[in-house]
Amino acid sequence: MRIQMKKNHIHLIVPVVAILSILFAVISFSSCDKIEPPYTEEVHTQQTDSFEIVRKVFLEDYTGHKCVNCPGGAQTAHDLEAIYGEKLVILAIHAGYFATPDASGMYTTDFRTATGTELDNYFGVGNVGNPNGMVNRKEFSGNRIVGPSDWGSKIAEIIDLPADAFIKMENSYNSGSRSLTSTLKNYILTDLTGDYRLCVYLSEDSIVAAQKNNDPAIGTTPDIVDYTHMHVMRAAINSTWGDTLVSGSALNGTIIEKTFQYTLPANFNASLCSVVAFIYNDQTKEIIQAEKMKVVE
Amino acid sequence: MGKIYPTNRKISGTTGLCLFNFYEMIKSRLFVLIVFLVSVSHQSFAQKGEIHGSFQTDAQYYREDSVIGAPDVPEQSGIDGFLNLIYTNKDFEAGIRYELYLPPVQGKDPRLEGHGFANRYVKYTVKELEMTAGSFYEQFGNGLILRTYEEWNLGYDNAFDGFRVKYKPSRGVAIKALYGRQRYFWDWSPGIVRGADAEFSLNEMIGGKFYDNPNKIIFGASAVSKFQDDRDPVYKLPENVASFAGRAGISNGKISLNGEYAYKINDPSAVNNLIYKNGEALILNAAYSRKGLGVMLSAKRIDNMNFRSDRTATGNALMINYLPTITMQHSYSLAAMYPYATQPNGEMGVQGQVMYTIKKNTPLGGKYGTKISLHYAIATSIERQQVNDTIAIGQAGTDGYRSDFFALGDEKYFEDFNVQISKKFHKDFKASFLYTYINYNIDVIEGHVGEGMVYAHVGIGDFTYKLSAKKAIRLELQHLYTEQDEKSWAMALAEFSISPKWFFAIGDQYNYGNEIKAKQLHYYTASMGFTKGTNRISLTYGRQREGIICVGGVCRNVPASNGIAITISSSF
Repeated sequence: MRIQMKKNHIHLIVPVVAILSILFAVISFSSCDKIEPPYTEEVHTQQTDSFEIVRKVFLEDYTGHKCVNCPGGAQTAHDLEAIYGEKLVILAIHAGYFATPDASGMYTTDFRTATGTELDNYFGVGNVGNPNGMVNRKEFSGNRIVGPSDWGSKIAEIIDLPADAFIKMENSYNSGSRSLTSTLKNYILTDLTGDYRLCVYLSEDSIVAAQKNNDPAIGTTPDIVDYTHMHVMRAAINSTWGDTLVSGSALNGTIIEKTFQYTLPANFNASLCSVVAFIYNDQTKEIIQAEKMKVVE
Repeated sequence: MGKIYPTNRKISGTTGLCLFNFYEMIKSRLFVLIVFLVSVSHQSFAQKGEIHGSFQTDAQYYREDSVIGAPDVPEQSGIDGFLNLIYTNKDFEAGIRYELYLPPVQGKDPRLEGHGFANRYVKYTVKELEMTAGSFYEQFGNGLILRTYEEWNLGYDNAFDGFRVKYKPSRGVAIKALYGRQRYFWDWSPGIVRGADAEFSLNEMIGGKFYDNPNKIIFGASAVSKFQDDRDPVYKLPENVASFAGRAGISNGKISLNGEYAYKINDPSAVNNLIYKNGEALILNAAYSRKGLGVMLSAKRIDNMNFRSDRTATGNALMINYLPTITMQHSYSLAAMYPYATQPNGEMGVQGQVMYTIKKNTPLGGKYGTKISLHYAIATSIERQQVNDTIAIGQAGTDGYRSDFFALGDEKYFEDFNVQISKKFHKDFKASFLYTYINYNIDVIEGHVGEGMVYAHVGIGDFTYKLSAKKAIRLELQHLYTEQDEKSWAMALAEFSISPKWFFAIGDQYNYGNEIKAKQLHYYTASMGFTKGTNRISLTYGRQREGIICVGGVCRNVPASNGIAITISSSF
């Protein structure tokens, strides 16, 4: 009986030691990263001159005033803007289910645009849900749609790459006629092959209207009655897909100038509006450079 | 995976780089594997082995129907399908799985669109050691820190792709270890998952007279870690996130008790709004059964246990773990209108069920006996307190909140009380009756705000009358009463079946209580099916209301549709 007990113990010890060794090994090489507060990186805004030649990344935030998670997405965009300054061009596109206005009540404002809806349908962002967006409309591991929690990583991945093009923008606004003239000098900074197009949109900041919200750190829940909507897409100056800039190829050093005219509707506050422009590859839809400048400096 | 995308994925560290090369190698070997599978079928090797397979396709043609809010489908159709082939020969097994979504049927994630070999693996067993390379599914314990599986109806597949080893070093001891990435539609997760699990069956380990002892004791432990690099410029994100779980179970034939506790370190993610709090989960189950009586009790607490191989993933993508639901999954349409979805950010719940069969030849049991089931389940929030006066609960980039493990939250998420009675009245006639009272928190479960709670009473009668040995008529009458959401519904379904091959059914769901007259709609359907052996074809025409399908607490939205749906399935 004693011999049997001893055998049983040996029988147990071997596997237990083996198992614990494996578990220990797994845990050891897993080396948990326990992060201590503060959990945020120190912010040093990257200062760039408007005419400094750098890659400027285009972040599209697909949103809606009835989307409870969207203020969180806007906050993320704002945090990233604090880091990258003018190197990041943000556009909030109100489209899809959550952007639909109500017939009455708090959510009667219609922030939607035909172009925003067309883009939302084309890229399928609304189908995945709001808030979501695109960073330079670039495919990351086969996916173009990027959630707010990943915007920072994806921007960081590409923002320090050398610029392939540069847009030098000058705006002139006549407040009497509400006429805007925007001149864009497009500098090609590398040999490009393929078709590239130039899009020019209009955005407006600081529109105060209701927004649904579920994040008490941002504002009241479930509604923020006087939410300040930033970077709101208002119009496409040269249509949803823009104009051809490069057809077939363009050599490094090519300069292409384009001028656009647009009359601001009466309900747009010109002093809060900006012209947003970007150059993209027509085949891949990937944006290679962006620019933003206020209508009235 | 068969569909290969160019990738610019950069994995820091030597381990990650090695794994990357391994995946490229695996991808390039896919064609070889297919050729191998085809060729072996003509060789003596195959003659000694077996090939099994299964096939299913679900196709739908969509008609415009703006009245019910059916979305416009440019392709006017959707099709999902798969073919599984598994070859086994003694201790060797290999399999492939082809999938097609062109485009996926409405309601499935549009990122599934595409076609190709989604799954391929080889497995070999040498005595106590089993090795798998390629795609595989795995579960540790209840799944609290690791479970991968495929659920066709949800479009859910979080399979691993990598290596797995199972080893039984001695009697009663089973060890598993795995390393890999997870399926992400037609790509792989950016994060790497590695884990190990050990399970001990005490009776088998001690052996002797304990081996046959009716009191069985099993315990186990597991550890899972994920790696994902941090390039976020705003937050300091943990690149390695580990989780641990311990479990134990005891049973003696009639009574069984089991429980599992899991812990996870800081894991800020899109789902938890980037908070750094640790995660915890506890699940306890107790069951008693004897002839004619079954009693089951469950309790669970989940706190910040969303665990994915991509911290930015949402929806049903890239979940490493599975948090079991402890609510009933109803099968009748109106009872299933408000299903519960597990809340990984935090929930507490209990569930109890008693099933009793009243004996035959008693006043209540009648000639054939009567089955009665009573079930109750509730899920609530967990208690949450501010970390300090300046940090709002759940604020990104903070510890989020503090929570007393044993304190109940004050918000009800879901409650379901139901009674089901099934009785055979005559040799040709049987019926089943269900009453269920459901409380459903739309805001929490569907992620809306300001829509509040639905209180729904559902009554169902299901009657089957046998016309002959093979022919039967079944009638389902259902009614849902509620003053909330879309208000009350009624439903009727009549089915004629000629077993075992044919069935024909017509049905209608009518939202007669909708306060908007134009939305008091009928959702009529007509369907038929044919089954012969393992081949099955079914055809349905009509409207489908917008709703939610849940399997095991994992859910997907299904938009309204109008059209024809055909399903063909087979296996060999």
